[in-house]
Amino acid sequence: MRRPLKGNNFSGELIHGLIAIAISLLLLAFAPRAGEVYRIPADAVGKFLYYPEYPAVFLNVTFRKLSLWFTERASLISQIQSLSRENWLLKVAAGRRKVAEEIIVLDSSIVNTRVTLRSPENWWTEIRLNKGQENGLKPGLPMLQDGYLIGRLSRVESGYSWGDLITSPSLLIPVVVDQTRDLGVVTGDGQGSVWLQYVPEGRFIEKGMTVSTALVSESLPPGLPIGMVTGETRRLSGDVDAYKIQPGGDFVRLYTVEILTEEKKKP
Amino acid sequence: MMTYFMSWYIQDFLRVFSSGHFLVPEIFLLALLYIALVDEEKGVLSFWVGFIGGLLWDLRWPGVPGLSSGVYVFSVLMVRWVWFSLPSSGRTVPVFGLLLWSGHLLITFIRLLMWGLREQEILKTFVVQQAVLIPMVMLACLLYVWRMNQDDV
Repeated sequence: MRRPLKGNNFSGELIHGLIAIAISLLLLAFAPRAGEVYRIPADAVGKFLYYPEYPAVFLNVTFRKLSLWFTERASLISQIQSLSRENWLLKVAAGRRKVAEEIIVLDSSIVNTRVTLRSPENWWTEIRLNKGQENGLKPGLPMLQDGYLIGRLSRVESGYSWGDLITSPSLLIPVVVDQTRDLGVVTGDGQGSVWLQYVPEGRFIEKGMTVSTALVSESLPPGLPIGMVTGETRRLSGDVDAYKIQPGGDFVRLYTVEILTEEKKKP
Repeated sequence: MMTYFMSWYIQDFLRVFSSGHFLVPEIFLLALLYIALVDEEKGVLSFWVGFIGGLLWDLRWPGVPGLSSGVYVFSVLMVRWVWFSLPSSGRTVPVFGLLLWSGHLLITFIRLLMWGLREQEILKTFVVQQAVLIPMVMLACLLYVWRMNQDDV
C-alpha cells in the first residue's frame, strides 16, 4: 500500500509550488508592460517547434484541401445540374423557335389547290387542279395531302394544272426505306395500289417500315413521306419482289392538294 | 520525463491540427496530475515541469505568459494536497477520477473565457471539451487500476 505523504515532504513541495505560482504571477503582472520582452522567447519557441509541428501542419493542410475538394465537388455537381437544366430549357426554347420558323417557311412555300377534275377513266392516274402558272406552279413539283406525297405536277397552264398520281403506272418516284436506307422506286398499278420496286434482292423489308423520297430526283426534295410497307409482296418478272405500300394520302377523298413550291421565303 | 514531453507535444500537435477551431484537451495537465497522484515522490518535479510546460504553452500560443504555468502548478498542488490528505482507504478509483477531472476545471474555464465566445457557444465548446476530457479521465483511471494491481502482485 502507498505511504501517506510525510509532513516535511509536503512542506518542501509546498514551498516549490508556491515559488512556481509566485513566478507565474510575476510573469502575469509584467505581461501587459513587457510585450516586446516576451516576443523574443515566443519567437524562439515558435522556431524551435517548426519541425516538430510540421506533421500537424501537413495534416491540417491536407485535411483542409480534402475538405475543400469535397465542398468544391459538391458545388460543381450542383452547378452542372443547374447548367444541364438550363441547357435543356434553352434547347427546348431554341427548338420551339426553330419549329415555328420552319412552319412559317413551309407555309410560305405551299400553294393550296382544289381538285377540279378527276375523270373516271383516269381515276388512279391524274387529276386537274385549279391553280397554274400565275401561282408559281411548275411541272415536276410535288403534290401533297396532309404532308404525304401523292404525286407531282405534269403540266402547268395558265389558271389550271394537271398532276400525275403515285397510283399511276407512268409515275416513278425514287424512294428510300427509312429504317434500312434501301433505295427503290415507288410506282402505281393504275388500280389504286402503290408498289415499291427495284429493291435489291435479299433485302429485309418488313411490314410497318416507312418510305420517303430519296435524294436522287432533282425536282423532288428528299424526305417527303409517302407511306408504309404493308407486308404484302408480289413477284415481278425477273424474280424480283415488289412490296405493297399503304399511301399516307387518302386517294378516296381527294378534294384539296398542297403543292410544295421551290420558293422559300424567310420570315 | 518522456511522458511529460510526449503529452505536451501531443497537445501542441492537436492545437496545430485544429487551427484553433476547437478547444484541445489538456493532455499535458492530465499527465501532470496523473503522475503527481500515482507517484508521490515526483511532487516537486511535477510543479516545475508544469511551470515550464505552461510557460512554453503561453509563449507558443496566444495567451498571457504565466497564466497556464500558474494554473497548472496550482492545480497539481491542490489535487496532490487533497489526495495525500486522504487516508489510504479513501484513495479510491472514483476519487482519483474526480480529482483528475476537477483539476481541469480551472484551466478549462480560463480557456473558455479567453476563447472569446458568446454564451451559447461557450456552453457548446465546454460540452465538446468535456466529451473529450471525460473519456481521457476514465482511461487514466483504468491505467491507475492496472498499476495498482501490478503493485499488489
